Amino acid sequence: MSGGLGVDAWWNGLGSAALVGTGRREVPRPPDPLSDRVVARAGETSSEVSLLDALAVGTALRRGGRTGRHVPDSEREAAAEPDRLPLAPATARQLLDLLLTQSPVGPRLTPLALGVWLREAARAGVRVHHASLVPLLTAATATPELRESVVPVLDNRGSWLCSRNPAWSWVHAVVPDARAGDTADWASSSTEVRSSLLRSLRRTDPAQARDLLDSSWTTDPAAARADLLGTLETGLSLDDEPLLERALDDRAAGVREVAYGLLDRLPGSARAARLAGLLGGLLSTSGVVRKKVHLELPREPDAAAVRDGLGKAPKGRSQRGLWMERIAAGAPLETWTEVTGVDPVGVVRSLEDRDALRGLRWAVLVRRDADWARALLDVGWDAALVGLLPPDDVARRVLDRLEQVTTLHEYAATLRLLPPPWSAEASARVVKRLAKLDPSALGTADLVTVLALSLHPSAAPAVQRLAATSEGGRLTPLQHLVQYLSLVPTITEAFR
Amino acid sequence: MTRWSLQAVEKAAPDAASLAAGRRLATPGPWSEVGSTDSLVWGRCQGSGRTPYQVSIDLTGPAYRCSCPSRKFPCKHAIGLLLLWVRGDGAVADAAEGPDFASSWAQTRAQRAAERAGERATGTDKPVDPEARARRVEDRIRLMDAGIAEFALWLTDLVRAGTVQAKRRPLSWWDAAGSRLVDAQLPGLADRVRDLGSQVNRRDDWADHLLDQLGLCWTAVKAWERRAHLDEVTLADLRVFLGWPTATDDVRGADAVEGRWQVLGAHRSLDGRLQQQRTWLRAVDSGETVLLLDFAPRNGPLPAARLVGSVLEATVARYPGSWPRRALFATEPAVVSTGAPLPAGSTIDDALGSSASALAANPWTPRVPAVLDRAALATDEVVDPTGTAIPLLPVEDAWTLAALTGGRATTVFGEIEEGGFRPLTIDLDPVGEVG
Repeated sequence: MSGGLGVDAWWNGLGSAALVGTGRREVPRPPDPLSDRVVARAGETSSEVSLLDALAVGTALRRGGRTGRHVPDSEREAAAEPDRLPLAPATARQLLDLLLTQSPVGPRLTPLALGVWLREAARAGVRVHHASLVPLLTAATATPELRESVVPVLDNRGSWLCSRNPAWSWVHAVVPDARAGDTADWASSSTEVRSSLLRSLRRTDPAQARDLLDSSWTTDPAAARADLLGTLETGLSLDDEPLLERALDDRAAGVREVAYGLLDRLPGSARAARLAGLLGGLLSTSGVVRKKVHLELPREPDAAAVRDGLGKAPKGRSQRGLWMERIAAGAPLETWTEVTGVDPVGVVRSLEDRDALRGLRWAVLVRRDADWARALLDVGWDAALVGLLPPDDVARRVLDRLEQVTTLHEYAATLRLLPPPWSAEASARVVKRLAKLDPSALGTADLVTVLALSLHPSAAPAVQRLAATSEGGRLTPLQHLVQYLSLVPTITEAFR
Repeated sequence: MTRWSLQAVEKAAPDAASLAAGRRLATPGPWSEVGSTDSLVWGRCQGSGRTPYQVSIDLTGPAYRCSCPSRKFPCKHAIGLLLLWVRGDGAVADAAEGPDFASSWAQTRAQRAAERAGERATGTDKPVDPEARARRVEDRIRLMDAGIAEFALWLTDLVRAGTVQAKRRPLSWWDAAGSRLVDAQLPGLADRVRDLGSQVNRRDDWADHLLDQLGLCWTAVKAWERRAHLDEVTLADLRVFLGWPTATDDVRGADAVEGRWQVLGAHRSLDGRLQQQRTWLRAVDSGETVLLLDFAPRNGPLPAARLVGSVLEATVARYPGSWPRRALFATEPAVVSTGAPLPAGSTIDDALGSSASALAANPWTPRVPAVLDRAALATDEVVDPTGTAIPLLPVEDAWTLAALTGGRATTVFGEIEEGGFRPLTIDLDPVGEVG
């Protein structure tokens, strides 16, 4: 287009004229090769018509003259690397498609079934088919619990795909990388960032984490000191004692509270020994054959005892009660037995002081002492303490407890304590008990999840009978459970 | 009739909610008396009521019937039954013939269809009165003449006042112009003007878009004024742009080709209140590509999409107009084979070239089909081996296409529209997974 305007420049000129209207701006002349055709009539027509004429020609030129852009090799996007893992077997792929598009087990149990599928796939060392990547990633985006097990089956294609969609960026976050946070930015980081940094560092290098905490201890505000001190709970040991002792002298009550709680976990600490001294002074026994343990109320504490936590009680709380609880929570458990010569069962049986019992229970919990837990459980059901027993013991106690619960709510709460997977016998007892508890009220589909995760496959027929008695043509949670129990072996089979 | 694909069922659902509800019903639990023949699928579904719903599906239509009160069509029961059926795991057993409630319905339908076909063939029931018809055409042309003249004035007013001012107009101003065009029996222009009203408010490049549309409309105005001098093909193209439909019966009789047609790809879109389904067919012998168009109201059912890669034996009648031509099935197509690979294609430059030729013949051509060889789908463009790229137009399953190709070059079929490319079908052979 020598001499005249190019089509683009002309079109822009038409645009400017059109913007403000032909009433105010003249219509530009077209580029040379077109001018005789378009302008020929221009003299005889109004400027509106010549603009419209020009637009008609211009749009035809633009639409017909479109070209692609040239992409230099350096700008080409990298394609996915070939996959490394073999493809999942055909039956397994069909099952995955079924779960992703029309799951037979209902929305609650589908993530569990997908979890089973994914774990089996990872165990078999295979990848999913490309067509299932999008629905699978979509499902795992909606259900974060699935994410960790999705990652190993994605292979190169899947991880390439995720790198292109921000919604799936969690895939790369899940991949364990060493980026535990930057210790160099300690001074300038927020308390949240520091606290998560400390937590992860405590798992690998507790000393370095402690040193970091120590480095800003004198300058951090009280709330930050309390928060950060709490992270010592991970990987806690006697090496942390000097810092904790210092925290006992802290100005802020919140920091001191955190320190008491942490020192309670260290029966070998100097504070534990000091509290053992106090406790020993309160204990006495009577009787010879069957000794009874007596516990006096604590006396007015000295300055050292106040420093160890025997301070002023909050409003409404008995002063001596608080001291009693603090002593019982912090002293070594052995103090009770060594001073009195009575075993844990005997001690618990004779203890009547509620504050002492509360402190003792706390000490048992944080030190995870199974013998004492058993002794406490003998006098009353305590869900938290059951977890401290060896699995067989737990199962026996939980199953006994199940016989006593009267509501579906209690039933569900108790069932959660039963360590999975359940034996055939345990499963049978669980289902039998459920039958007596009006399973039609099983709207709490949460319970179905617990059952699905742990029931022995042999319980399927019993659940089936139970499901059949429940009314209605709709698929109840129980029927989904039946489907689930039969689906799981099929999934496992599909990877053989 | 071959079993449908899962995709075909999904596309038959009127909306996502019905599909989801159908999926929940796609378990054997609530079903009884289910079965299927070549052309029928049926069953009884236990719903919330006492008596189970009777569901029948005529696969040839496809047509659906269910005794449930749902106003969705097809309802969730029909979708659920189809999902159960396509799974092919024996939950819906093959049978020689259906139960009474299903077969009698199918028979009535077939009978009615035959009667209609008979009417078309003999024309006995509705004798065409050529004089009356000519009168109707004359009336319409008079209306259109007046409408076009008024529209020309509207366009000149618009450019005199300027496009900035047009952008400031409320939607009702564009709607009013649209309504006048509807009254003048110019529904094609009417839709365009109404759409333009919302586009100028939505698009960043509204100014260029508006200029293009003004140019196209003005081309149509000028062409209509000179219609006496236009050849038949261009006249037909103009009629499509203005929205003067050609009666299907006229098409059926006119330009029919018998042969084998490969389904290259399909696309569904929702334009305002109307759903559109475009299916591109390629004649196996001549290589000509034609376009099937189906329409349905927003919540209505579109016919099940033809399985991509299948080859159909059918008589296809073509509408008048220039390439790519719209067509319809003059006879019910029979599936000859499935899984045909895409034919050899071209570079992006060549495809743009054929788009330009199509525009030269018909300046209103909205899009043309194109098979691209060894094309890679990048994040927002498609790149061919020469390094030429054009933007990708958004499609619903863009991520699935990315997952399937992995960014590797493969044969891709799609539509070239406004200088962009809408991928519809990919040939998986070169990147296929070894199962």
